[in-house]
Amino acid sequence: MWPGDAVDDEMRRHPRIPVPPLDPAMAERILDGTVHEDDVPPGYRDVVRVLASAAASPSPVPTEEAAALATFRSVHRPVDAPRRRPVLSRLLGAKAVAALVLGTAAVGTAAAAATGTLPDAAQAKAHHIVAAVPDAGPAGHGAAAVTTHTPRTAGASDHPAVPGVAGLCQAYGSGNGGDNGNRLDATAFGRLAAAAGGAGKIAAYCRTVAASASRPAGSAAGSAAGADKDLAGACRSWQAAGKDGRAAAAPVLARLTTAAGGADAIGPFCTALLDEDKGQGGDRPSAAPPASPRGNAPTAPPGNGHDEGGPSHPAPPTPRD
Amino acid sequence: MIGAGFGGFLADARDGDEHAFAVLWRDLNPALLRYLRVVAPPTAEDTAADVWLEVCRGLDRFRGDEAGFRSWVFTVARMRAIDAARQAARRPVRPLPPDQLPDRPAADDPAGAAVEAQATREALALIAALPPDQAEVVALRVIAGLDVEQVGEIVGKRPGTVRVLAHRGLRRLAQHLAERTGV
Repeated sequence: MWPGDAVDDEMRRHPRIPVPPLDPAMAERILDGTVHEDDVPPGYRDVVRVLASAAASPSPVPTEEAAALATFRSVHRPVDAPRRRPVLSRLLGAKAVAALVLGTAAVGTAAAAATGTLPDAAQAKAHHIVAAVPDAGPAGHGAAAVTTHTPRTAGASDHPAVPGVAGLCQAYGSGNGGDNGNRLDATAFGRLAAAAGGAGKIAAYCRTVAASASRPAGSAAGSAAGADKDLAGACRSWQAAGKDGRAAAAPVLARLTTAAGGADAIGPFCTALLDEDKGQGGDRPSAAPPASPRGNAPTAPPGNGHDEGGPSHPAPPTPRD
Repeated sequence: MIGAGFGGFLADARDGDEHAFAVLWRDLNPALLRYLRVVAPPTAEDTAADVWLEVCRGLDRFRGDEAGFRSWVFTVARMRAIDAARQAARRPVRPLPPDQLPDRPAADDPAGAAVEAQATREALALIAALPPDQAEVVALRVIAGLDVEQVGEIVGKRPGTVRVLAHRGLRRLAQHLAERTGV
């Protein structure tokens, strides 16, 4: 991982040439760049030249500067400057409308289900869907459950510092595989990357967000069995929403995408999960991917940034003097 | 180094002034990139972008002077470089020995700049070829321009250890250069 062998190889090939000793004070002066190459001990003149070249400051690249400023704008919005409506909220605005439409439909269905005005088959299915919504109360209080559920997932309340991160994660996930993030513009992507603590950590971070969004309110951590029950419910509503799942509510889709390991995998995942569910009476399916974040995903929401709290991850230093 | 105006630029950047941020960026990014080319060569540019993202996020929380700011930025850089090296280890790429690095500058480079850029590339490759702990300390001392105490804080070592590592690094560089030129 570190290119450390080249010198050793070289030394094996050539007879060892003795290098004159170096006074520690002179070493510090060389490192500080406060000594001229004519004033160093024999054998160190080239070292001074090399270090001077390494320290030489080339002019910054304009495209890199533009990218850095875009990052800055996306992260560090002025408090009192007039704000453009951020892409994030525009994005969320669209989602809110969609959620409202779906929510209305769900409430309508729930009301119809509660009053028993649906045909028998639909009635049974509707109970399933209403009961399946994560965080819902006991089945039968579906209408209330839907209304309490919607704001919670829309705001990703476990991550209050980054509003709408669940929506961003979903947009990110919808890109699929190597195309992740293509559907986010630079600002939204930057924001998500900022929340995740690095562009490379977005996937893991979004899995955490989705997992925490699926955690029932009030329950300590959401047991594995509970999480699977939620997933089974989510699968049912996904299947009920149509095979491609496009009509499924955003949070449901996000959770399933996370659990299945990709939007494309939801179908097989749900089939397997529900089959197991039937066969084992709701026990944790052994074949299905785990519901918890996988791989190197952080186990705690990294809302405060992953660089804090450890001795090797110092927070910004306080004034030195 | 920015000097006396640093505090003002930092305060303005914290208030969202992107011109002020650009001043901080221009001052530090060249050194940041060169440091990363020593400790995480294949991903230096990507890692630098990650570092700035984190710096932007942390600006509000940062308290300190310019030396502290540099220290902080390179602390972040070191952590991101370690992450990048870990990822690179999963798909290993063997670095080219310094003397096999391509020495053809881009065609649109003015000759002088190209020679200088080439000299810088070679110098960074030579430092990168040191044992990792020596390379890191030399890079932080020389490229980042940090003092022994700051480097010690960043790498989690005592100042005495930092001095010894840097000293060994210089001797090894001298040895390598002497052998290369056949002196």
